[in-house]
Amino acid sequence: MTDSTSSPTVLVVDDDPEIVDFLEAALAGRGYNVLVAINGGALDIAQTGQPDLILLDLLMPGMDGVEITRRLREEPSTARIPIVVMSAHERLHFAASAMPVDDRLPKPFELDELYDTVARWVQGR
Amino acid sequence: MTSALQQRFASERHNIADRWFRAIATTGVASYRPAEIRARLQKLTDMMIEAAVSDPFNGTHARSIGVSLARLRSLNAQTLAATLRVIGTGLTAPLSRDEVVALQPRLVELMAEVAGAYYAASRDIILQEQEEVRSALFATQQQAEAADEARAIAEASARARSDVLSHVAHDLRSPLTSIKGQTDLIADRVQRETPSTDWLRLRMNSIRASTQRMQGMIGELLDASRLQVGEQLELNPRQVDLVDLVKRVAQSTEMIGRTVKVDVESGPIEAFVDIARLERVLHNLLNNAAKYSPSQTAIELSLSQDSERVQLIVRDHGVGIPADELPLVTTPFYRASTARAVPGTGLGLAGVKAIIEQHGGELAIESVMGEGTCVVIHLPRLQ
Repeated sequence: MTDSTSSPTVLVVDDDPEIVDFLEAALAGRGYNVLVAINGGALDIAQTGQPDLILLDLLMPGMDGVEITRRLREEPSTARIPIVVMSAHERLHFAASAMPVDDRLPKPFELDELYDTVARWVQGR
Repeated sequence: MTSALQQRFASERHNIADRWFRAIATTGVASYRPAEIRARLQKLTDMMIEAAVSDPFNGTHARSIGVSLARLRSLNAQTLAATLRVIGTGLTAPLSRDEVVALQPRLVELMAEVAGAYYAASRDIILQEQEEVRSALFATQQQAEAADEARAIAEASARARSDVLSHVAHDLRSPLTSIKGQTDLIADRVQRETPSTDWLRLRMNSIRASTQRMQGMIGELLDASRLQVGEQLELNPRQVDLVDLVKRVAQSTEMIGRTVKVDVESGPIEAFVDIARLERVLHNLLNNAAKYSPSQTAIELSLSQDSERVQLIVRDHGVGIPADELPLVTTPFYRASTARAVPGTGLGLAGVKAIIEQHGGELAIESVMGEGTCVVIHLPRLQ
């Protein structure tokens, strides 16, 4: 269960189970509570879990990162949660520049990049 | 008298036909294929002569004359006028007065009949001509459409080809991200402490899964490059129980959070196949099913056999493929219009088809827009 009083919560949304596994292990190792949405369900989990940050994959089957971002921003209870969009896409910066997201993390990334990015947004809350 | 008339007609048949032609030319219709009309007129003239000399008062003729006259009256007064002019000036003049008196009413009728027949014939020619022009136009239009279609396909394919490298890079980067991440994580951890075996095992399993995925992608790329230049794939077939293989691949699809309803006849269901490639085929079909259907819908996978063949079916309840694109989806780089919102190389199904066909099998794809897609594979059963 999420323990929101002691440590910040990060929601990881990605369709690649191996990346989810890695991010979960990496962030849990740094003391974060980690919520996971592999395919769909991201909106519900964000509403009920009220994470401090959402790490969101850009290109996913079904509802992609663009659509999930739009819906998160529309929903008052999730509108103010920072979103960091991740992608292995070569044009991530271009795609992300048109989205109401707070930051971007190009795949693959260094562990420090991940930790720094997450810490920056979580602390900024 | 009949024979005298016959002789006269025989020597005059060309003249008569020629006069007919010139008379009819005044109506304008003879400008269509004059040579053909002339030939038809000659034939009609001969028929007319034959009719005139054999039995002028034959009942059959009388009926058909009536019909022709009716047709003439309703259809072409000008031709009738021309006909009568010819009778008055050309044909009947060389005959004796008695002959003319005896024959004139009959000749008028015969001429009318010939004119009617001529009119029908010339109308047929015109219609035929129009039909030819129409079908030529239609063919041209079809060719133009086909050319447009071919150009559109070529352009789409070129675009897809130019995109394919970035898609491939994207697809390879994803497992690379987790391999790199997990190894970095291990390195980071062991610097500070001795991680637990369980923790390490989880990292290792994840790395293994990602490397297997990369291996599959690279295999697919290599196959695609061979198929692009028309080369056959080098298969390494072995005797395989497909029941195990199908269950294994279905499990890995469930890993991405999708339910796969597996319906497998009691085994063994054996075939002589290249395991790595058949796994890739199944992965591909299940991934497609997952990519192009809503996450709450189930994917169905069935495996069965009869005395000769093994049947594999993958069915989804997703967006579907437009009927006119079905034949194209197995062409390299082609991506169905309903698939373009989801990233992909357009190589998957082309490879699937090639692999199945090289195993002596068949691939069939059925799809209903908005209802889903069903891929049916038949492979020869191991005898």
